[in-house]
Parts: sequence; C-alpha cells; structure tokens
Amino acid sequence: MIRTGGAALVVALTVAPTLQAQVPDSLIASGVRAYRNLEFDVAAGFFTRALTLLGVADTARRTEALTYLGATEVYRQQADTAHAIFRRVVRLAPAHRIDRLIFPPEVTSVFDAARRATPAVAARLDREQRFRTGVGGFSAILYGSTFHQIRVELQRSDASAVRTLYAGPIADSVPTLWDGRATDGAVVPSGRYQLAIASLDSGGTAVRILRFPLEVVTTRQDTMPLPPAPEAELLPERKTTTGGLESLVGGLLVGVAVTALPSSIAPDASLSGGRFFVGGVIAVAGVVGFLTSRGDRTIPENIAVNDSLRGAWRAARDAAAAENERRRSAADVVVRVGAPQAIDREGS
Amino acid sequence: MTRNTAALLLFALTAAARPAWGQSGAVHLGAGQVRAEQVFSVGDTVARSGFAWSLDGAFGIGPATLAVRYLEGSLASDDTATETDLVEGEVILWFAPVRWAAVGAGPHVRAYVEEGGTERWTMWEVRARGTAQLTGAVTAYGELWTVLGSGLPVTGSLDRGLGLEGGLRIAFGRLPFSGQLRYRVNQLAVADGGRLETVEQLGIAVGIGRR
Repeated sequence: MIRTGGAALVVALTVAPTLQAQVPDSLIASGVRAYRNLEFDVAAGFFTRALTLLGVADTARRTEALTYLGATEVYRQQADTAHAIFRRVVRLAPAHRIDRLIFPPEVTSVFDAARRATPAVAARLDREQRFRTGVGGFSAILYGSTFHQIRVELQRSDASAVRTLYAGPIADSVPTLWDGRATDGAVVPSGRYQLAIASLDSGGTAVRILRFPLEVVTTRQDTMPLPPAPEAELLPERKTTTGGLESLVGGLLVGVAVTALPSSIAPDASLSGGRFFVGGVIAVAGVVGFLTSRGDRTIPENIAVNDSLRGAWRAARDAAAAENERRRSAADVVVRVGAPQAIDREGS
Repeated sequence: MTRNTAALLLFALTAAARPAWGQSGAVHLGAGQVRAEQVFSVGDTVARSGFAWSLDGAFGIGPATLAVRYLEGSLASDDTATETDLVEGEVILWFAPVRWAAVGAGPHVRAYVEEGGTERWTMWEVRARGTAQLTGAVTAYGELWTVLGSGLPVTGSLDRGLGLEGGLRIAFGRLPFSGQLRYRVNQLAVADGGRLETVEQLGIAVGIGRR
C-alpha cells in the first residue's frame, strides 16, 4: 500500500512539470488551429489563456503566442489592440521578424508598423567572458528592432557611466567590444557594473533601456623590482697622486743605470756616447712624468668602464620600468553576466 | 735585409695581428747603429761599426712572455774599411711575477760573417728586467744579464759575460702602435785574456702591439 502510494508520488512529481509545459503548448496549438479555421474569437481565447500560463522567461513561446494573437486581433478588426500586441512582441524579442509565408500582408503591415514605432535592442553575449586587457575584450552583438539611435554604456551599479562603448545608429546589428578600461584608460577595479543599452527616440530621449548586470573581476600582474644602481661596482674616476714617485724614481734609476752601468759591464771598452743620450732621455721623461702626474687626475679608463656600467644599468632600469608600466596597465578580466532587465518608458 | 729577415718579419706581423695567440703581443721593426769592438790576446783591437736592422717579437700569456729578437747589419772596420756582417738572434722566456719586474732566460747567438768563414758566439743568459711607468704612454725599462753558459769560437773558457739594455717604450695614444728607443751593451771576456768582445747598439723601433 505504502509502496504503491510512493510510486504514484514519484510519477506525479515527474509528470507534473511536463504536463504544465504541455498545457500552454496545446493551448497554442489549439489557438493556431482555430486561427487557421478562421475562428478568431476562439483562437484569441486559447492564446490569451496560453500567455497567462507561460512563464516570463519563455520568450520563444510567448513570442509565438503573441504574434498569433496580434494576427487574430487584426482579423477581429481590433487594429489598435493588434498594434499594441505587436509592440509587446517587439519589446519581448526585438530581433523577431514575422514570417511572411505564414501571415498575409494585412498582418505583416501592422506588425511592421508596430516594429517601426518600437525602438528596442536585443543583445547576444556569452554569460562569462575572460580576457586580458590589450589582447581581447568583452564582446556583445546588438540586434535592433528597427533603425534608431542607441547608446551603449558600461555603468556602475548606481547607473553612473564608466565608459561609453557605442553611441550611434543601429539597423540590423552592431558589434560592441569593451576592453576592460574606463574612459580615462585605467583598468576598472573589480566590482558590480551593468551594461546599459539605451534605445533613443528622435529627440535623443531614452525610450527603452536594456540592462545586463555584470560582475567584473580584474586581476593585475605583479610588478618587478627596479635594478639597484651599480654604485658599489663603480671604479674611482679620479685619483690624487702624491707626486708620481714611480715616474721620478723609476726614470732616474733606469736613466742612471743606462748611463753609468755600461762602464762597469764593459770596463775595458771604449764606449760611445749613445748611453748618455738614452739615459738622459729616460731621466728627463721620468721627471716630466713626475711633474705631470701630480695633483688630481681623472682616470679615463675607469670613466669609460663606469659609463658602460651606468649605461647598462639605465637600460635595465628603463626596460624594467617599461615592463612594470605594461603590467600596471594590464590585467586579466573576468566578466560574468546576469539576467537582463528591460525598462520601457511609459507610453512609448 | 735578407730573404730570411723578410720571412721572419712576415711571420711576426702575422702573429701580432692574431691576438688569439695570447693575451699580449707586439712586433717591432728597428734600426740603429751598432759598434763592435774586439780586443785580441796579442793586443790588437779591431773596432767595427755600421747600420743594422732588427726585428723584435713578444707574445705573452699571463705572466709569461716569449721574446724573440733578430738583428742583422753590416759593419765596417774603422781602420781597414773591410766589411763584416753581424747577425744576432735571441730567444728569451720571461716571467713577470709583478708588473714592474721580470726575470728571463734563453739563448743568444751572435755571428760575424766574413768571406773567410763565420765566427759564432753562443751564450745562455739569465736576465732581469725592471719597468717603470713614467707617464700614461711612456714606460722606461732596464735589463741586466749575465752569461751562464757559452759556446765560443775561440779557445778558452768564458771568464765574464755581462749585458745591459735600457730604453723607453712609447704607446701612441689609443692606436695599437708603439715605439722604442733603446741602448744595449754586451761584453764577453774569454779567460786568460784570450778575447774581449764588446757590442754596443743604439736604435729605435716602431711596431704593432705593446709589451
């Protein structure tokens, strides 16, 4: 007994949603049959009941039911009602176009008039998008109900503008791309934003705004430290000599040796005067070196080495700074898109 | 300059142009005055003088440097005006433990070439050299050496063999060229007054590289 009751409960829970979905479908099917049989009052009843039962999110079936209901009202001589119903269709699915093989011109003309009078935009976008600034972006394709002006903005949650992504006309479709940056070029911080697509009338007033809530997560790359200045590696560029002792002593010693020692090396020979000349030149060169090497002197070799070190350091520093600038200005961005919300101006 | 000299010059220049052979290298071509004085046992003295070419090369790796020298000249007797060719060659291996001092050793051969024959002196020498940097471009050096072994063309043993060379080396700025001014004297005394041989050289040289 208990087992039978349990099985019935399972069957009821499984079948009930299916039956719920089938009821609007069967009502729409019955309405279409009545419409084709020219039983427009009956058809209107089926479509009205189906619309009452359909969920708000069931855009496709609501669009179908509303379209047939509008056509039914055309044949019921309810032109204003038909126009209003078709405007609901356009707002519901701005990219929807009536099937001209199914509906005759007297219906399609009313639908077209309603479409032209109802500027609206639908958007196709992925629910989660990831990109790196400078490489990719957050993309959306917008579809217009009719030719009109639109303004696409990234806004904060308080509706203040962060960046205008597009402002201009839309006919059939317009692609948009957001690079993750605000108007000033900075990567936006993580937070909640919204993509607001405003359809404008001829006076520039927004008659309809389609909003997608966005959750934006930006992750910046770490910067690298700048290389330290090579102060510890620099060689002394000046030296203060105390008198060029090596020049003086070395020059005099060698000069005297060249002048005097030959007599000891070759005591029995009659030597030429060449040794005096060479020895004298060496001694004089030593004195000259002594005199010119005194005081504060620069060391060109060390200066060249230091210039090379400083140049290499500057190049490394500039490269690191450029890389840091690139990293600071770049970020990995994740955008998660929430359920859209459309706001129509009253009476439009 | 003989064909041998030209070949040596070509070889040395080629070697100096390839620094991969060592950390330092230099080749110098020199010219100068040579005076040779020979005192014989009988008391005769023959003095000759003339002009000579020289070719020096030095190739160093770290503290070690191999220095070679070739000299060739024609000497005329002061009295008889007869000419004698003088040819010298030496190979000294230097070791410099510090920048300003080095010691070296090697053979030194001298030959007097005359129509009657060649008189060849072979000396094995040990040398010491001191160097002083006088200015950024000028270096003074002095060498002293003594002969430890010899091969003589005369009877008797070598009683004394000493030599000295001093001079200046000048680097021409940042160019790889350098020049030298040098004076050299060398005397060999054969025991028992058998022979006294003195050679004096004064010359300049220019070349590629620096020692």
